[in-house]
Amino acid sequence: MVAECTHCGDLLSQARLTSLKDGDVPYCCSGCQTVHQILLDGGLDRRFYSIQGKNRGPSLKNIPTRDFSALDFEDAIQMDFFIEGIHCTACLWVLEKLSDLSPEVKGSRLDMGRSILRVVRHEPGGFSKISQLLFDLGYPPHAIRSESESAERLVAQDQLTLKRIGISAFSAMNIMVYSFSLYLGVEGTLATVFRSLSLLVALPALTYGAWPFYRNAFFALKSKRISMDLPISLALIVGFFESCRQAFLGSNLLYLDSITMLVTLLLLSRYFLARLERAETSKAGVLHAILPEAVRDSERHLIRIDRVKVGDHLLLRVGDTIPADGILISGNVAVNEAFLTGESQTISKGMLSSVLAGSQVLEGEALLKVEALQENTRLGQLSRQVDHADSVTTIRSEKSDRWATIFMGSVMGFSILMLALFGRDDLGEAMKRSLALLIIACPCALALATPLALARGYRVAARSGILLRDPQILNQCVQMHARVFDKTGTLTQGKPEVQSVQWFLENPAMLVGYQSLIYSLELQSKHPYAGSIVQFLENIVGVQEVPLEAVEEKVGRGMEANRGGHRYFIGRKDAEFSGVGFWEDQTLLAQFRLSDQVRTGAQEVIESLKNDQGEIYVFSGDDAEIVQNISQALGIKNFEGELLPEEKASRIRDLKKSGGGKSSVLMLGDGINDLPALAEADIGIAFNRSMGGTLDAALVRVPVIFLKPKLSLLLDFEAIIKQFHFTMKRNLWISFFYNLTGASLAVSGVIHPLVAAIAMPLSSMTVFISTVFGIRGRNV
Amino acid sequence: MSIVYLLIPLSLLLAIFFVFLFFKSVNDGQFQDLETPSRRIIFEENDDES
Repeated sequence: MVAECTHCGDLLSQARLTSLKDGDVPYCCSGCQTVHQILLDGGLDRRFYSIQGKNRGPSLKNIPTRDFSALDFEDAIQMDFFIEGIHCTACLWVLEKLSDLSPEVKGSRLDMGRSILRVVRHEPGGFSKISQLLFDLGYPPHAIRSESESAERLVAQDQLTLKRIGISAFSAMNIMVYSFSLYLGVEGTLATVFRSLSLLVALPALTYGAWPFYRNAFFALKSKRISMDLPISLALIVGFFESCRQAFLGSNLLYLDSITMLVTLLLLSRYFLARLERAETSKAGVLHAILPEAVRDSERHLIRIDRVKVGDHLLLRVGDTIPADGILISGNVAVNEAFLTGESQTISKGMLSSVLAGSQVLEGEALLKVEALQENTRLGQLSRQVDHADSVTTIRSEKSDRWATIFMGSVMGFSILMLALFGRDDLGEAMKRSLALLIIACPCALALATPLALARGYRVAARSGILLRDPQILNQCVQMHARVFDKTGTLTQGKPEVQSVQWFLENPAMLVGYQSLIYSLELQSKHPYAGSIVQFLENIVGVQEVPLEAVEEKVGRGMEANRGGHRYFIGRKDAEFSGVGFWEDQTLLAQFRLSDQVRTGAQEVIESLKNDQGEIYVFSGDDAEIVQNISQALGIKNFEGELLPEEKASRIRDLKKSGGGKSSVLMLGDGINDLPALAEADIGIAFNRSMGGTLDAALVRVPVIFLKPKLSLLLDFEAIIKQFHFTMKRNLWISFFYNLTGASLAVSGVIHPLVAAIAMPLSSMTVFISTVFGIRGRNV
Repeated sequence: MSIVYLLIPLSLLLAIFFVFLFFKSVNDGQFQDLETPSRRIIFEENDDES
């Protein structure tokens, strides 16, 4: 028999199937059941599934629970959430129907582009219940403490730029109509009217519209920097006064159409770029903090993390993210420090052992004495290294503007030279020619080329599941000197899987009974190993949940329970025992071996990368022997294990040095322990290790993020980089050719302004088409 | 041809009116979220029936 989950459409596991009674609605997991039930109760189910169609929601298996009680602090009427897992129109629909599902909610509105949901309550109160509802629906929320001031300022800035674009476009388009008539030789009163109207209509664009150029140029001058805005401002001002002079002289050769169009295009391309870059940084900014905002003190009261001081005592419970570095003063916990070490091992911590902020409490409860908070924690130090790398990125993007600046500088030099050379003979003619040069050589196409290509690259990448947080990364050198992989979670699945089971049974008929027992026992544990064993067992025919008595969790060791007069234990009795054992009273009945598996498709990707230039390295924090096994299985010669996060970073630095800056070092990693290395690499790529799973929040700051757990995305990404470089080169040549021809014609004084007016949009159009067809990704 | 002297100011006025409309829509935040409304339109109409 086969059955599909009512909610997500996944096939049901054998264990689920056998426990299914007649008339039951099939679900693959309790998560899906909850969502379906919520939708059913709210009367939204029919509509939801019809919008969603075949594009079913993500399965909710193996998603850990979260505690939202911290949000009851907020006594607010509305709150913004960053929502994970939004993927289709049905998500939008159900999230905006939140008021049907919860009586507290008055309304909700989703911004899909930024994945931000604004929820408004009927009356002020807490947001924990609403958060829990969102979580149960399969959309893990992250509260943002109302939109910050800076975000609102950005919105205002955006709107101002849009208005400037609108005004400039208004000027440019109207002037174009007048100019065409003038170029075509209108005479008499009509010509005078057109000339004066042109001057008048140009004013809004040259004052209100072009204001940012003047301002930037002024500040650049003040701090003695060269900025692209300086020549632009000069061209605008000189162009306007020269046009005035021409108009009074009765000439029809005004440059107002060109300069207003220039303002419009430049503003547009800048707006374009700013928006593109902001879209991703805002997403990242939301997740900046991975440490909890509220913690519990020793009396279990919730307090804000910013009120905690060094020396305070905090309570740690299962599922908590440890908020600060410190020492345990009572109790035992099992924690996962994967973010630091890269190992997905569970570590037991007892009295007086130190724990690190950011680790997850998997089992147990303990009191923590705080020793370091926020920036002073180990996690804070790691993040700082990334901040440092962020500023490096800015310098890099400025470099890409240099081309245009150099170009403008030389054009300006030429026009001044021309003015000086011919000015003595005929000032008017020299003025006219140098102006023609300034305007026609103004790198419109050049200014558009980069933003267009970046935007296109961003879109194409997003389509295949690659998020370019910093699109400028595409400007990186296309020659790869080295490709570095993290092992755990990148080359491998990053979670243990059952390799083999050895049974020591006298009566093989008992097998299914024991399997069901283990299954039921492990269902109640949150340990990663338990999850893997459950996954392994639930696909075996006949395995089902059985009732247990006196279930007890032994922190960091295993689970214990009574059944039929026997005491059963699954886990590790002592540190010597390898794998996971299953005991009936004192008799060992089974031994599970678990290990991390190489990701499917890794072999093919590595093979095809080998054909390209650049060595392949594996740097891992994991056990040296395991690293060796995996690397050799994949045929990678360079590998190193047991590396600390800083050591990984320094290895990357060495690689960069040996590359000599002429080729890039690419690093692919998935854990916070890779952060320093990812920041150090020319191209740092964060890898989302499991579908539907959450990326470690701190990794959202890495310039490139692979949203799907597919190594083949690396091939897509490299294809896009290559296409980007090729297209950029082609665009530069197109605009260079246009500018050179235009400039030489302008210098010789033969160019008719009408020709220039037509050629200008034409060159931009060519660049546009070249970009769209040049960057298309792989297999298209 | 003298009709041009009437049409030109009219065209300018019309253009200014458009700029005014554009400013208004910018202030209303119409350009802040360019993705969601295109999807929202799919279901809002049918919702009233159910």
